[in-house]
Amino acid sequence: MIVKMTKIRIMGPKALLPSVTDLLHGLGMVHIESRPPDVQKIDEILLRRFSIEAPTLHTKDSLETLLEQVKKILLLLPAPAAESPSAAVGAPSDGTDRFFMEAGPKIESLVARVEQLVGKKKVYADELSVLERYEKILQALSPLISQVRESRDLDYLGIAIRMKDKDVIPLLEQAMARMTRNQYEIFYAPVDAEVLAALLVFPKETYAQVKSLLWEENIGELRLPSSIMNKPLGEAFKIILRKRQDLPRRIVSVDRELSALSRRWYLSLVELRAWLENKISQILVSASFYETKMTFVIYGWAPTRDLGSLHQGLTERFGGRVVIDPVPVDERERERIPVCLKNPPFFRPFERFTKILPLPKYGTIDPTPYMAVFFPLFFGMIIGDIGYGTLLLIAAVILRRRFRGDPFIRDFASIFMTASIASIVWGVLYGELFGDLGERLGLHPILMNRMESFLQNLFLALAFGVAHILLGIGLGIFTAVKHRRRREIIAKLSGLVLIAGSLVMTAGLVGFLPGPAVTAGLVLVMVSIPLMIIGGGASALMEIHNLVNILSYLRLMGIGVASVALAFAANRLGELAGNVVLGILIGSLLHALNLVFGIFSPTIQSLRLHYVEFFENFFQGGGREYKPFKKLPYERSA
Amino acid sequence: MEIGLIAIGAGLAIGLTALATGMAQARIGAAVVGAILEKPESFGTAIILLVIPETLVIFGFTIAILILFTLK
Repeated sequence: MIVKMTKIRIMGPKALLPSVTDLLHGLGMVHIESRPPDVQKIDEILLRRFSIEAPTLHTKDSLETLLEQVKKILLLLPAPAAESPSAAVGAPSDGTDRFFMEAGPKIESLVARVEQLVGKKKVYADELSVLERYEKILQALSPLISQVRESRDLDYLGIAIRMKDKDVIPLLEQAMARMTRNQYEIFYAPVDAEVLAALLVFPKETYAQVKSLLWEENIGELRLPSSIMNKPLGEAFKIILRKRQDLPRRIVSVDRELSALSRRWYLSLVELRAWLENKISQILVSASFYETKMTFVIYGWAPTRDLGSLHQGLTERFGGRVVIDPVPVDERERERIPVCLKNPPFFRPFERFTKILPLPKYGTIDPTPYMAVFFPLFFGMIIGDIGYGTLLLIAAVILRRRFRGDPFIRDFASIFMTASIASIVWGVLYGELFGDLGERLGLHPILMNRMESFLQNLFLALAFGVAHILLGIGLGIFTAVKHRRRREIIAKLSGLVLIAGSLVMTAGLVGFLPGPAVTAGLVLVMVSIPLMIIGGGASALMEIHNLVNILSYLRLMGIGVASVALAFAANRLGELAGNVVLGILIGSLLHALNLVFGIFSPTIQSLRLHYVEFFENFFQGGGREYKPFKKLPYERSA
Repeated sequence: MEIGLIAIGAGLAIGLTALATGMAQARIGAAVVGAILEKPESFGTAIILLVIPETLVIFGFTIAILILFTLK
C-alpha cells in the first residue's frame, strides 16, 4: 500500500537551524521539499531561500576533498577479512575544526603510503608477468646454451617459432647455410604444443646478416626485457630465474603491509566516509530551506503516522522554540506528493517487481499485494511439477541463507520460495513429478493431466484471465470512485458489462449455456458500447482491448504444456538410451535444461501478464519516490 | 488426407505467428537495447514493449489447438 503523506512546515529561530538539521537527519522521516509552489505566493522580501555562508561552503569543499581521499584509499586497500580493532580516525563527536587538524594530515600521509605501495605492487606484478612469458622459452633454450662452447668467434641468437609456421625451418636452414658458408648450427627444443624454441649458432661476423634474415622472414627473435636486453642468453636466464623467485616474495611483502594498513584503518575509514557524506548532505540540504530575517522555514513531507514522533522529537529537544505544523496541499502539488510503499513482510519482496516500472502515483493503488498473490499462482500454474518445484525451493532456501546480508538476492529468493511452493501445489493437482515420472510411481492427477486435457487446461487459463482482468477493472473503478471521476467510472463499468456479455454469448455459442444466452450476451455487448463512448469518448473503446487481453492468459496453458512436453521428452529419451546410467544422465541433463527454462520463461510471462494486461486497467505510474533526509549509519562494513 | 490437412493448418497457425512474433521482437529488441544503454531506468518499460508481440504466437497456438481439437 501507499503510505499516507502529510505536507509539513518546520519553523524556528535561525540560531537553532544546525541543531534542527542534525535532528531531522537523525530521525530520517522528512522528505525535504525544495520548491513548494505555495512559497512563490509569499513576498520574497519576507521569505527568501536560505543562503549558505562562505565559511560553510569552504568547509563543504574541504570535506568533499577529504571524502575523495578516503574513497580512494578504500578503493585501493583490500577489505579486512574479519573484524579487527581500528585506529580512531573517523566519526568525530566534537567540532569539525579539531577533526580536520587531527584527521586531515593522517589521511594525506595514508593516501601517499597506500598509493606508493599499490604502485610498487603493480610494477612487480607487471615485471613478473613479462618474465613468466620468457621463462618458458629460456627454460627450453637453457640446456642448448650450455652445449654451445664459449668462443670468441661464435655468436648465438634465440628464436621462437610457432608450430603452425614450422614450414619456415627448411628455408631458414638454407638461408643460414648460404650466409655462413655452412658454418652454423641450429638446436631445437619444443616449449609447448604451440611454440618451438631454437638456438642459432653462427660466426660473429655474420651477426648483422642473421638478424636481418630473421627480420625478413618474419621469425620472432627472442627479445629480452629492457633490464637484461644486453646480457648473453645464458646469463639472462639466470637473472630471470633469480627475479622469478624474488618478485613473488616482494609482492607478498607489499600485500602484507597493505593488509596491516587495512586492518588498522579500513573500518575506521568506512565510518569516516559515512560521517563525511552525512556532514556534506547536511550542508547541501540547507540550500532547500527558506529564511526570514530571524527564522528558518523548512518545507517537507512526512508519513502521517510518523508526525507524532517527529513532533515529540522536536519538542523534547527544543521545547516550544521550534514549531512543526501540517500545511494544506496545493492542487498543483498533488502529482508531486512523494510515494512510499509499505507492505506486510510477506508482500515486501514483491515491491521489487513493482519498482521495475515507475512508481504508482500518490492516491492510486499499489499493485504489490496483488502481484504477491498472482505472480506465484501463475508461475506455479506454468511449471506445475513437484520435482521442479522442490528443486527450486531448495535453491531458493540456500540462496536466502547464503546471501542473508544482500537484500536484493534475499528478496528474490523469498519470491521464488513462494513461487516454488505454488509450483509444488500445482504439481500435485496435475499429478506431475519430473513430467510423467510421478505417474509411473503411482501419482495421479487430481485436477487434470496437462498432456491430455488441452481444452480443460485452456478454459482454466481463460478463467484465471477473466478473474485477473475483472480484478484490474474493479481496482480501476475503485480509483475512479475515490477521485470522483464519473465518466471514468461509467467507462470502466461498461467494460465490465462488455466482458460479461461476451462471456455469456461465447458460453451460449459453445453450448455451455442454453440458446437464449447468445441473445442476452449480445444485448449486453450492444448496451456496453454506447455507455463506453458516453463515459470516455471514442478512446474508451480501447476497453474492448480487455477481451483480447483475456486471451493473452492462454500463455499460462501454452508455456505450461511446452514445459511438461519437454519433461516427457526428457523421460522418453532417457528410456531410449538402453543403459540405466546413460539414461539417467540424459534424462537429468534434459530436466536440468527444462528447469532453467522453467525459471526464466514463467517469470517473464507472469510478469508480463501483470504489467501489460492487469496494470492497464488501474495502474497510474509516474509517482515521485519518497527520499527522506536520512543519516547513513556509521556501520562497520564496506 | 483430411487429418494431414488439419495438421498442416495447425502447423501454419503456430508457425506463421511465431515468425511474425520473432520479426517484431527482433526490431523491438534492437531498439530497447539501445534505449536501456542510454537510459537504464527504462528497463521496465522496455521489457513490456519487448514482450507485447508474444500475444501473436499465443493466438496462433490457441488457433492451432482449436483446429486440432474441434476439426479432428
